[in-house]
This record gives sequence, C-alpha cells and structure tokens, in this order.
Amino acid sequence: MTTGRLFWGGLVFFGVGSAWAVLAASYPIGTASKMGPGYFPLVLAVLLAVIGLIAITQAALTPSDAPVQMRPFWPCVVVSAAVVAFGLLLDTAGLVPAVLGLVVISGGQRLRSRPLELLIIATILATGATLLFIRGLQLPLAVFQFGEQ
Amino acid sequence: MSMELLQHLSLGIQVALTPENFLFCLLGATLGTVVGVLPGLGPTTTIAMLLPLTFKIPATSALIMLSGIYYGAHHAGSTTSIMLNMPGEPTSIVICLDGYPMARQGRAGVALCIAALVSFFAGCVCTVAIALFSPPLARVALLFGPPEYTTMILMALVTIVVLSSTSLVLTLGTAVLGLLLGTVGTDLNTGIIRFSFGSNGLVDGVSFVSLAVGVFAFAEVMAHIAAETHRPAERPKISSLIPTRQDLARSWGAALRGTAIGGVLGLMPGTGPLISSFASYVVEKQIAKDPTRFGNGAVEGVAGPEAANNAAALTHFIPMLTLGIPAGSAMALMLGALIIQGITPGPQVMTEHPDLFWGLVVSMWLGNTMLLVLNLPLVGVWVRLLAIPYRLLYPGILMFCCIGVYSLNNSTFDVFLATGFGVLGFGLKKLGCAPAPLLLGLILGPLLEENFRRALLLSRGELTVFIQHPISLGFLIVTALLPFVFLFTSRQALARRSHQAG
Amino acid sequence: MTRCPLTRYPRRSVIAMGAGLITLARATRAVAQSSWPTRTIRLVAPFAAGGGTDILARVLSQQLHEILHQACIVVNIDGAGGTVGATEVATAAPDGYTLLVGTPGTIEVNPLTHSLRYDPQKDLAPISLVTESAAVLVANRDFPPNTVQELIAYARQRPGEVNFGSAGPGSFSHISGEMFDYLAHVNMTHVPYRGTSAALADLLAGRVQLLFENMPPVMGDIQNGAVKAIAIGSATRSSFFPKLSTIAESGVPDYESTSFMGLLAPAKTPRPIIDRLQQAIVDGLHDPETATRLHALGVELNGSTPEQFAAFIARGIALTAKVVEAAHMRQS
Repeated sequence: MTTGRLFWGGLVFFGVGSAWAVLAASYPIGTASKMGPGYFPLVLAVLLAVIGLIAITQAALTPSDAPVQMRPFWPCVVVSAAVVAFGLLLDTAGLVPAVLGLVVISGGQRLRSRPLELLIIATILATGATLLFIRGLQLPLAVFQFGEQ
Repeated sequence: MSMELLQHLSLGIQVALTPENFLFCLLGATLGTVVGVLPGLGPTTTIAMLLPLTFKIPATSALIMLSGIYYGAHHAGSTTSIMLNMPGEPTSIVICLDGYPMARQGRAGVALCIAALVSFFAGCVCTVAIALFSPPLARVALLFGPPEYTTMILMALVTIVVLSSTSLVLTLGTAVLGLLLGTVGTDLNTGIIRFSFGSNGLVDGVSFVSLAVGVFAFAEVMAHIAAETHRPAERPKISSLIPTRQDLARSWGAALRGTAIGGVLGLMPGTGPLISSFASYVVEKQIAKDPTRFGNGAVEGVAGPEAANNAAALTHFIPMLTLGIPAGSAMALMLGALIIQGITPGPQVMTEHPDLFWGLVVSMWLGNTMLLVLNLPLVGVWVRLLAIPYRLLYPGILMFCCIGVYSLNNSTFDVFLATGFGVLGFGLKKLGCAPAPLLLGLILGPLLEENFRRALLLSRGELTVFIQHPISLGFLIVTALLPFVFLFTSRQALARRSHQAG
Repeated sequence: MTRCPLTRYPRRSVIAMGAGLITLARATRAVAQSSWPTRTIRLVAPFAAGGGTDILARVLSQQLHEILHQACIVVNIDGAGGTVGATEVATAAPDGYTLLVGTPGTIEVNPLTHSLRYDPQKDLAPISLVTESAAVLVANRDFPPNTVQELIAYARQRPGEVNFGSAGPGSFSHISGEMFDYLAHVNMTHVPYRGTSAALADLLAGRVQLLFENMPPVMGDIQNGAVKAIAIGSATRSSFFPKLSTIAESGVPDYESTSFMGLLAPAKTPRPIIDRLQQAIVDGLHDPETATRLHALGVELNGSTPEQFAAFIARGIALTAKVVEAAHMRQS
C-alpha cells in the first residue's frame, strides 16, 4: 500500500462526498420522478464518495502510486494572502492602495532584495488600472476612499 | 445563388461600408478584443454600459457595434487560455488543454496565429450560413426541449472523462466535484437555497469566473513562483511565430469540422457554444492517428475548438434575429437596443428591415476580417509579453484577475471565493488532476439538473420521455457507446506505440 | 433630577442636544438642497446586466444624467434574488447618491421568500413609480382556448395538465401565474425556467401552453403572431393592445398583476432631494425621445409622486402575500 496521489485524492473525494451527502440529506429529497431540492446533490455526493473509495482501493492494489509533493507550500500562502489583502483594501481604501497591497505582499520575498523593482511595478499597475478600469471602462470603483462606503 | 441574394448582399455592402458603420464595426471589434482578453469582464457588461450611447445612433450602426463587441470577445477569449492557462470565457476552457502546453513549448505564437486564422475562417463560413439559411436553421433551435438538453449534457459529461490524459478515477472525481459545486445556490424548481452556508454571495451559486480564476490562474501563479525559486529563469524559447506547413495541414481539417459542429450547436440557446467547443475537441482527439499528442500541445486541439467556438458565436445570432429569442444576456441587450429603436425582432426583420439584416451580415464578415488584421500583429505583442521575467509579470496577472472577479457583481466576496478555489486548484495540481472537468461540471451540473427535472415535470414523472424523443434517444445511444469506442481506440494507440517501441 | 431612561444624560441637555441636532440637520439639508448633486449618482440595479428592467434603468439613468447635469450610472449588484443590492441601498448614506431600481421582486416578493435585513416599506423611501407594465397572458398558437372563460373551463376539466412557464420561482411571471390559479380556482402546473427567453422558447415550441409575463419580452411575439395573447392582467386595458380584454373583466374580478420599475432612496434621504429626483423623473418622462424609447419597450409611463408610489407598494405587498401563501398551501 502506497500513500500517493490516488490514495490522497480518493480520501479527499470520500471526505467531501460524505460531508456533502449529510448536508444534502437535510433538504427535502422527494422521489426519482418528483425530485426535491436534495435529490440531485445527494446522488452526486454519494457518487463522489464511492469514487473516492474506488480510488483508495486502486491505490491499495497499485504498487507504485505517484507520490504527492506538497512542498514548497509558501507560494500558496503568499498568493492567497495577497489576493485577500487586495479584497479587503479595495473595500476600505480604494483601488490604488489595494493594488499596492497586492504587489507588496505577492512579491514580499523580494521586498529587501529589490524594493525599487516592486515600487515600479506597483506604480505602473496602479496607474494602468486606474486609467483602464476607472477612466476607460467606467467600473464603479474608487481610486482612494476612507472607510467603507 | 439567386439574383435576389446578390441584391441583398449588395445592399448589405452599401450599408456596412458607409464610413460611420465601418468605424462602429471597428470600434466594436476592438472593444470586444479588449474585454475578451481581460478575465472576468465579459461582453455582457460592456454592451450594457454602452447601451445608452446607442440611443443616439441609427439602429443598424448600434447593432453592428454591439455585435462586434460580442464576437470580438469570443475571438479574444482564447488568448489568455493559451498564454496563461486562464480561460476568459467558458467557451475557451478547452483551448487551455493544448494551447497552454503549446505555449510552454515556446509555440504560443503558433497557437495564437492558428486561433486567429481558424476564427476568421469559421467567421466567414458562418456569415454565409446566416445569409443563406437563417429562417430554416431557426427551427432547429425549437427542436431541442428539456429531454434533448438533458441527454446532450449527459453525453457531454461522459466525454469529459475521455478528455483526461491522467487517472480515470481522479478525473471522474474532479468532474463530480464540479457538479456538486454546481448545486450550490437557489434550487430552480422550489426556490430553496442550498449549501449557501448563510452567505448571500452563494445564493446565486458559485460563479464560473471565480472558479476559473482560482483553479486556473491563481493555481498557475502559485506553481510558477514555486518553480522559479526552485530553478530560476527558465523561460520557454520562442521558436517561431509562424505556423509550419505541418501545423496548417493539421489545422485545416480540424477547422472545417469545428466550424460545422459549432455552426449547428450554436443554434441552441445557452449551452450551444460551450458544448460545441469541446465536442470538437473530442472529435479531433478521436479521429487523430495518435491521440496521445492531445493534452501535450496538439495544434488540432486549438484549431478545432476555436473554430467551433467562433462559429457558434455567430450562428447564435440566428435565433435572436429570426425568432426574437435571445440566446443569452448579451443577446438580450442587443435585442433591447433594437426594440428601443422601434424594431420588432422576428421573422419579418429580414423583409421589413433588409438594410439592418444584410448590413449586419456583411458587417460580421467585415468585423471578422478586422479581427484577423487586429489579432495577427497582436500575436507578436502577446508573445513578447511572455518574454518578460515572470516575477515582473505575475503581480499584473493577479491584479487583472482580481479586478475582473470583482467586477462580476461589484463585490469582494467573489474575490475571496476565488482565493479559496486557488488553494483548491493548488491541491488538485499536486494530485495530478486537471481542472477542466471541475469547471465543466460546474457549468453543466445545474443545466443537467434543471433540464432533467423539467423534462420529468412536463412528462408528469414518466422516465420513458428520454427514449420517446428521437433526438434524445440518439444522444443516449451515443453516450452508452462512447466508453467502448474510446476503450477500443486507446488500446489501438497503445498497441501501435508498443509496436513502434518494439 | 429626572433622568431620561434611555440615556445617562439629564433630560434638559438631551432636549438641547436634540434641538441642536435638528438645527444641524436643517443646515445640512439646506446645503444638500442647493448643491446636490455634486458627484456621480449610482442607480443600484439589484439584478444582472441584460434583463428587461436593466434596459429601462439605463434609459432612465441617461435621462437623469441630462436633466441633473451630473453623471448617473447603473451599478448592477446581483445576488440572492435582489436582496444584496436592496440591502446595500437600504443601509447606504441617505445623501441622494445611492438609489435603488425597485422591481416587484425586490419590493413585494422578497420580504415573503427571503429573510431580509431591511423592511422595504420602512428602510426605503419611494421616489417615483417610473414605468409600469401589466402581465399579459400569452398562449401557444395551437392552444385551443382563446378567452379567459374558455381557459378556465379547459383547465378545470384537466386539473394539473395545463403548463404555465415562468422565469423562475418567485419571479413576476411565477407570481402572476399563481395569482391566476388562486383567483380563478384552477390547478395548472408551474414549470420554472432560468429566465424568460428559455420559457418563451418552450412556449413557441408548445412544451408549455401558457406564460404570464410583462409586456416587454412578449410584445414582439404578439405583434408577429408567434404567440396568441389571451388577456391582460392590469385593472384597465393596455394602450398597446386596446382590444385585448383584461383578466379582471373576463371573470376573475380581483386579478391585477403589474410589473413596475420605480426609484427608491434610503429612508432618511432629505425630502428636497427626493422631490428634486421625482421632478427630474417627471421631466424625463415628458421628453418625447425618452417617451418613445420607453414606449417601444412596451411599458406605460407613470412618474407618480412619492406618496402614490408608497400606496402602490402597500397594495402590491398585500396582494402578493395572499398569493404566495395560497401557492405554498397548494404545494404542501
């Protein structure tokens, strides 16, 4: 038994499928000819759980399941943090601070080695976005704002 | 070719070639290209914003410009798929499958050129189809009811598994996960809100753009940054911008078949263009001598679906022009622009407003030519963009994605949702699962459920309705046969390869 | 010293403070009156771009822009059947720069079907009912009944067999159909679609026999003869098809279903701003070009006062509540 892609994938599908089935069962199910809102999701969720079990069985029978290499994990954290910061800043401070936040956080590891480069990217993007999206395409965004509108 | 048609066409040429209509066509096509390239921002939003401006211009000019935005955006939607593995529109998901591998091999220029050329080809063919066959073709749209849609979508879903070049079980799981994501939101039959976890942002379901940006764009950026620090600055060498003779030979047939598939499926309101692009992909993979090239940068995998997508975008106009049924919200807006000017859509448009109808048809051909002229030089610009070091490029990619996602509903909720899907995409990548089945599941899931339930509602619960309708029965038979056909061909390919090896 | 129960301040200072606040409010109101509008006015459309009401809102915004000499843009805030956009306006600053494009869905239906964080009658100030469009009962060309009486007789003989399509649960077309079921004592099957166009396609193909929809999306098809108009759902006959009898005069006396597009503001918006907006709407509707455009879309122009609009809303909410309750009882 190897714990590789098939095993972990199967486990995730089984977990999500089971949880979704429990949630789906809380809605009216109905019958095949007169389905309630829970019917279709329940069938799919059970199907997903079964697929997960099949994958786990396959993994158990396969001698060489390709291993899962989660590392390096930090790009996932950096990109997520940058995008979340963009969202939060857009709501509270406006487009320009949001773009600055996005660039600085997503390029965080270069803040010391190449601060000027980051600053230039941020300036170009902030100017470009303001011109294209606010001036050009008239999206309802504030360039700067203080607090939530 | 009758005399009458030539008269009509010469009228159309006169209308489309007036200086102002020419300019409106150019403006529409250019705007369409801009919004088509930007993720999230679609033709619908753009047309909606420009609608008040069209009140002051003649109806024909307005329609010429608005339709230019529409097909221009379809034209350009594949650009980001090829360059960044990021589908700008649902119809260009399939282009990612081989377009992006081509770019990784340094053949982005070739892929973009082929895309532009086959789009132009499909555009020309379908313009002629609209001119010749609009009224009879319109009836095809009405042949498709809930049972037909149900079985067609089922067939599409079964073929998804075939698209995969990785593990069958994991692909199936990813597709079902996509279908489950599609069940989030308000149930169409009862109005009950499902799986929203109390969040208003989920009441209307998971938006396609959030998921696409998350699992494609964000996950791609994550993978790229990781790779850069691992072994820095390995950029694909750009071999050539111009397709080789072999590329063209391979694309030619694919474009023809794609145009035919897209032209017919485009007549179905709503689902047509999406299904056509990957129906074409499946056909190409199926008839290829070596199906294993697909997913690794096969040029037919770009040419076929791109032709299908653009053909469908044009024939999508037929139900609107002849039946007055808009095939989507962008079409509904164009219809609104006509109605505001006092033109009633319907079969009589061709006879009562021949200048409008034929002017539009000619302008479509003109617009497609402009798009070719516009896009071919742009290929060089795009490819040069790819030569910029990735560390300078990705903050821009992230920003365009974020603003695009935000602009969907003017809400940051979708931005946060996309972040979550980015993490999901990162995980899927580590498991070796392709994200395309997830997206197709998300889009097709609700359509499958609602058409299935609607079919049963109309048949009062009789499941036999799916075999009583001939078209639906046909789809079911094909669906049942598909796994065997694919099993057979993949065995053959395997045998051939081992034969070659041995 | 007596203390005001609600605060820890002496009563007299509370009164003084109150007086001060009123003066302040008057002052700001005067300022608002003289200088409003100084920046972009946002018309929040609580639905996705591209629908019939969206087009109406854009015609209106264009007109307000010209009359008020200030940018006026439509912002689509879609979500949760319109509750997201409506909540946004209900909780926005009452300064006349954030307004709601109100429709039957957001004002009349949602309070019954969604748990709202606002009360449409308390947290929103009506400005004017801009346009109205009555429900039209249209049928497939080959559907035997031609009048409301024939339809009622036909449907009573075949309980559950006649289908009426709709643009989705809780949509105007759904409520209008359920209202007919409830008031005419018939039992027809509701078949929901995602949007009017899909329902219309199946009506043309004969898969559903009936559709109760407001005028704009079906007007062209009636004129072409692609569908058959049976009756109109307003209290009086429509100016578009004066020969078409009303459902009310054909044996279902209480039937009245009219879709509308109106403008509303956050509740505490100063009256002068509301009056100014209402006047701008009336002026806009008098503009011949705008009137032609709106008329072409199949809506009747109204331009009511805020009070008339409030009364209209109150009536609509009461009737819709009865219909929704009846529909729920029928389902369970």
